[in-house]
Amino acid sequence: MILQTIIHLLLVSQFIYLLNLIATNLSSMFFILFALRDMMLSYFTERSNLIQNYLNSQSHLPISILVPAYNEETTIAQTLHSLLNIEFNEFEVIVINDGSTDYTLDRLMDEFHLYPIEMPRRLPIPHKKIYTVYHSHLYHNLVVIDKENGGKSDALNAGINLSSYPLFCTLDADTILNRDSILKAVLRFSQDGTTIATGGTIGILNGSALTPKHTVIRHLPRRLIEQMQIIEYTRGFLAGRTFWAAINGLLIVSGAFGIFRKDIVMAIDGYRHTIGEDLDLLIRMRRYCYQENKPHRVSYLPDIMCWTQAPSDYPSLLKQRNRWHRGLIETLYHNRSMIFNPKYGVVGLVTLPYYLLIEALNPLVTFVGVISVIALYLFNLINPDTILLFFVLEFVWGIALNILSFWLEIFLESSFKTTEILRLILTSMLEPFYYKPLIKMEQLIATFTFMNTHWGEIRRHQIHAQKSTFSQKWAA
Amino acid sequence: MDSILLLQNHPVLIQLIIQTILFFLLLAFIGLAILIGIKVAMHLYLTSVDKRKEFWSSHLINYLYYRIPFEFDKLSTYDLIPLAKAMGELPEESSNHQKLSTLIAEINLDGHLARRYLKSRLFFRKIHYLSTLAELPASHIPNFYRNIIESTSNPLLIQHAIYAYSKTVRNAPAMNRFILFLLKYDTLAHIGRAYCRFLIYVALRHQEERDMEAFNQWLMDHPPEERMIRCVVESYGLVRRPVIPHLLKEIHRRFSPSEEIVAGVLRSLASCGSKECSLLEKDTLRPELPVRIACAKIGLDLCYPSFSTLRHLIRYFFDKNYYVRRNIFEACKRYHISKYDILSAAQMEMPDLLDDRFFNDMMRAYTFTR
Repeated sequence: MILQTIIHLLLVSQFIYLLNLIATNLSSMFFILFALRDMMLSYFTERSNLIQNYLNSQSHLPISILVPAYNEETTIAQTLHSLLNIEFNEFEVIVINDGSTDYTLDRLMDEFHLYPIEMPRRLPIPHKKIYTVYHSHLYHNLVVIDKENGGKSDALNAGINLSSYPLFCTLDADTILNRDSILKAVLRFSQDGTTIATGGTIGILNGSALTPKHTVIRHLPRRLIEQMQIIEYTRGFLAGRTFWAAINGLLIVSGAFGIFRKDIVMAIDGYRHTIGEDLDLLIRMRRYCYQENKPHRVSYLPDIMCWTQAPSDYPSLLKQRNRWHRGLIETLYHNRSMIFNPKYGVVGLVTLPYYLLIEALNPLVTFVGVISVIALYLFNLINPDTILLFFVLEFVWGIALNILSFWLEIFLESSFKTTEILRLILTSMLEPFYYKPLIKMEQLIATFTFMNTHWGEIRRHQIHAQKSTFSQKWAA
Repeated sequence: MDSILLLQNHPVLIQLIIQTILFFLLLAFIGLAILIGIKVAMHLYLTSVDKRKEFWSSHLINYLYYRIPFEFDKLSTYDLIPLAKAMGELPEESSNHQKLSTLIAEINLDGHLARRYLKSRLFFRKIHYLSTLAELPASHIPNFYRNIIESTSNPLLIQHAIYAYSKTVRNAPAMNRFILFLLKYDTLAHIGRAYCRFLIYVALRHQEERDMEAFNQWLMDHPPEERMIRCVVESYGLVRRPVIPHLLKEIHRRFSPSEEIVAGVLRSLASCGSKECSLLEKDTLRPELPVRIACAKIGLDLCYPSFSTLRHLIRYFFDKNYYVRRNIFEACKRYHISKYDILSAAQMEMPDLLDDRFFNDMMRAYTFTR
């Protein structure tokens, strides 16, 4: 009797695993095809002179750029130089040194000639103590806040309190922004008054070089782990987010680059202290808008807005993915009342159920499914040919999706050489065999440890300036 | 359960899985081939457009600056988009604008592109033609754009159509119609105030001053809702023509009970560089928050940054609103007003409030900013 129950359970879990696999891959395929449509639109409209005319009119909304920094001495100066050169008329950059234990603050003081300013401030959103606020002798629009360590969300709350403008942009300290990114994003807020947040595609900086004018010259990174992430970013983030934005169900605006309306963020008391602060903030913003009956939209720009360093070693990558998955589960748990709740429209009925059933539970379902397939094989209840074919199907499907999504990447940024493209196609074929299982394993661990609020540190590398004569030509 | 067991060992299922694998393999390669094909086709198309655009740019420059007649005979149907893009990239000078507007009418360039738009079935082609139309420095088919806006719910189409529509506006009656249309549309699709301001700026910037005056009179005789007047007032500040301060002062007189409009007028006057000390003097007595915020921010721009102006503005250092205090502090910093002057003005105007903690904290901070 017990054995029969176990067998029944194994069969059910194996069935759920197959359903989950089909749902995941079908949704990925749909997202990719949908993203292709949006990217073709973007391809034809990006050369329009609307953006330039808008910039010249000076009618756009001013913006505060918030850069939380914790032990970022290697990258912070480069990030700020790229930021202070963006094409925009009225903006301020606020760096929040969140109790760094390295020389982040000293580096900033030296590079930007900072001096302390003791102006009294209104601090409506609570956060850890601010020690000193600095201004720069070199840039009138640069503010540096030195505060007690409180985590990224706490640092961002301090930045929001001290910001002067109606929109704010959050950027990671290792992010290099494209010169026109802010302008393109702010135009979305202007064109549609109901926009409460905008995100954009993030390019992987690893392997690329910077020109003296802080623009990125793209190269394929050398390590396989970095190449895998290029494909993953396109497949997982670009394609999915383009679709969700189109049906106004987008819930994630990456912490590496996101623009938000300050009044809505202030109304919900800023960031909550959580490890998935970007997802959490947007869900709470949407919840607030639904509750207050405010029409709202979260948009997404498929063009590459900024460049960030992806983890280049396995421990850092696994830590990051563990944190992301814990953040997802924790946020879904915190906002559980919204899931399957028609009061919250598309978000409650489509997006959140998708994130719960397809994203959050996927590692667990996969793990239980694989175990049950193996157990059924041991009980001699399943044909080994069927098992083999199922796994071949999963890998082939995965490879097909990778190749298609990789081509989306080429649509976005065609600066790879032919040899690099071929290498990336080969990499995309390897991904289902070792990268995906590895990530799934880490997500499984995260599923059981989601109460842990530790961030984990990721090793950063200095971004190398281009040394070839090509960069000198570029600079000229 | 047994049926699942039976199913997963069934030869038909195995056959099905094999066929699915083959399908996905095929999908990967066909999909890749299609994507490569699309990418190459788009690249070739845009390269050829760029090449023809270069050609027409030089012709347009000869036509505009060296008075060499425009060579209509060289124009083919393939040149409509390159020519439109070449026109869109020319510097925006009023003299050019008039000539280009006439040229567009002679060629019926906008009409041809509009026909192409109507014939297109694919959405991205429609967007391509519409965004090209929007790039034209002037256009003569406002009804076409109005129809698009009224007949679609797609925000991308609407945004390009409304921008293109703003470029058709060249005189006061057209401007009145445009404002009425914006009002009607604004409620439907929630365009942001900044974009509304930008559209009005685009519509106004190449108009004759007499048309601007006529439009301003219409605005005062038939006032639309307040937020639209604010958009107009703010766009005046972007246009920066000699007639603008006069128009703004008329609006100030007509709509003085409205605090938002008055605040907008003060900001726009300041951005035009107009010096309006008497107006500032009166408005600093107003108790409404938007006016206080505006006066604190641009008071020193609107009048001369002298001690007497500071005496009018000093009350804002003691305002109950944080943003008012912060604005006056930043304004004084911007003009390098000395700490001594601020303290003297405070002593003369607000002697009872000198022990205000916030003011004293700000004055301490001011030492660092010198």
